[in-house]
Amino acid sequence: MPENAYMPRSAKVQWMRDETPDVRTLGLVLEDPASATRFQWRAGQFALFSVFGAGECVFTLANSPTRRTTTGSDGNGQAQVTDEAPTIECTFRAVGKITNALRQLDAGQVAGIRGPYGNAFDVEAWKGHHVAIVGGGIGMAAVRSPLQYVLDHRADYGEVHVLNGARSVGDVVYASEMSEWAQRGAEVVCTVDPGGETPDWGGRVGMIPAVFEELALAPEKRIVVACGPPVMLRYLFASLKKLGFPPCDVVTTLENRMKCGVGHCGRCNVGRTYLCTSGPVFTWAQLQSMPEDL
Amino acid sequence: MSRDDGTSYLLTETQLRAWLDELIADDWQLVAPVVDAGPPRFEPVTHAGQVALDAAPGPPTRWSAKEYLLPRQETLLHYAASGAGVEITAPPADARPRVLFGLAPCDAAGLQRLAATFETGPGDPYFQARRQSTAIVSLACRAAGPMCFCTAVGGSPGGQGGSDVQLLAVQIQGESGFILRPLTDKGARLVEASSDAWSACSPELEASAEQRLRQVEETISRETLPAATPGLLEQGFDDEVWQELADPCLGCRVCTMVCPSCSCFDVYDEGTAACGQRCRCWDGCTQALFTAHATGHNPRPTQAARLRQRVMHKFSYFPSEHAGRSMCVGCGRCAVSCPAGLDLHQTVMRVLERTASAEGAGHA
Repeated sequence: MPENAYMPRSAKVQWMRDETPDVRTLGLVLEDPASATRFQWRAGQFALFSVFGAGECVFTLANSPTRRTTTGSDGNGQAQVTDEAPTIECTFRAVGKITNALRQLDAGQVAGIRGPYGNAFDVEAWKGHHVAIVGGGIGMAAVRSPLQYVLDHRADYGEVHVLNGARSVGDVVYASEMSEWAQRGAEVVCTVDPGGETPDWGGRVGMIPAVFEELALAPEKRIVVACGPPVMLRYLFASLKKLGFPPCDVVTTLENRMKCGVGHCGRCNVGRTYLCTSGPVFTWAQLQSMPEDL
Repeated sequence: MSRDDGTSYLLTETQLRAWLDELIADDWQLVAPVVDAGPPRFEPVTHAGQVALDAAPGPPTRWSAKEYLLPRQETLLHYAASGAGVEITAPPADARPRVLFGLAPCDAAGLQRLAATFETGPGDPYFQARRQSTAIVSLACRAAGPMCFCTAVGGSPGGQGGSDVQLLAVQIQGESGFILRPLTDKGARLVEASSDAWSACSPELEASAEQRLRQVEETISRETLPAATPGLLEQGFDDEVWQELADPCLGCRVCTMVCPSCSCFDVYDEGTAACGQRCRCWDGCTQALFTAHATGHNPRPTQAARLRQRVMHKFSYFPSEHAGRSMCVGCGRCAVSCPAGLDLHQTVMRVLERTASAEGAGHA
């Protein structure tokens, strides 16, 4: 009999961090040391996270495999995880039953994790290139892992830009990390939608595609990595086209509802392409051959 | 798996029922068509007398026998809080020896398609344990049902795909009898304890049974789908005809429930944080919430997009990954059960017509 893909491993919440009023990051460590050691992932892969009694939900693994040790608050102060077992980070917006249950978890409580699944960003092939990372809202969670990877191998890449966009100042995901990204050599631009700014806002005001155009990045030897709501991607692709970016140099990661993660439940496909087994990472060129069913 | 030594036996109905009783005595769970006061259905029986050998023309029941390989609902795991952690255990595999008896050839072929889905990638231990311990005995069709279109999708009333043993009903001197053909090693094992008492079937009787099957085949008038159907449907992906075709569709999913090859499922938890189970149950792509995200975004926002998904999966996506074989086996169950009267074969033909006329217009 094949291995049972549906059996999650139990993982203990080490710390929680509120990114925005409704976005939270959890740091989790698998309880069984052997499972923890076996849990090797690549930037861009996803896993199914579960709260027992509420159900299972799919999220990108939010931290880079180069960030196995992380710190955060366990509710009683700073908790540093320095064990051999990697911290698995999951950033989610609490919108439904399972994400709200995940948000209720305290440090020391248990969630389920199975995976990693799917393909990954080709971060090795980007070496020698400039990299521009674009995240819209919670979409930033899906491109943080390749961003961290690039920053952790900073010398191997050219210019690194991050464009982090949100509806409003209070909705900026990973606001507390942007200075770290800048210190490690990324040019970080944060923008909020018009109307979402506050009087003391020091960042940009404007929609992501427009702000990206203002950056006036030359397309030569530059990889654009973007994730965000479908409408953002549509306009961003139009901007990228205008700027002359070839579709094969633009990479995104797609998310759909998934129940199995292994190509059986029939839910995540876009046309004939199952996001779980052929994705979630696709180039813009690949998207052009898929029906507009996003 | 295949076993082609040509052995075939001739059994009287009494001998056939005696064989079924022997299987039951030998601890096989016998699942067979039952016709009583309720709707005809596949059900475990405790003695061969309960088995309907003369069910309606075409597939013998409204629901396929799919649920014996993929239950309507099943437990994937149990969980229980223990100390500061959680204990997660899988239920014991359902590996009970089981005979699915009296399936129409389309049903047997449908379960073969179902297996093709679950055996890709990492496989599925729940499904595969059941399938390995299950033997399938199909009964060739004596007459086609009004909605049958197996011949349009590569099947036939005497099709053998997915069967371990095939039965053909014949008349022996005015009495009802059956030609029995073991088709696989599993089928051979199913008959080995009983077959010594059976007589061999004469080539003449075999030939006349085959002749009879061809006559049944000729009564199925639905047009055969062209080999190019997968690509033609893809060309019609953006055609507005989907809207018109989906207008009557209620999104009730009954088509996916009665279908022997539909495999979509949902996974959900039943219980509290302290203990409970993770389950899966049948689900269907024609339902509005099937792909809806918690944010409200829905990649298939219209009924047209959802009906198209079902048609494309059956006739385009699946075939292009399985050597051109249609996922639909033409049993017609969806058309029989659809409260809105949608007919899958007609739906596909309508899209193909549109593609053909679009091509024609393109050439003009």
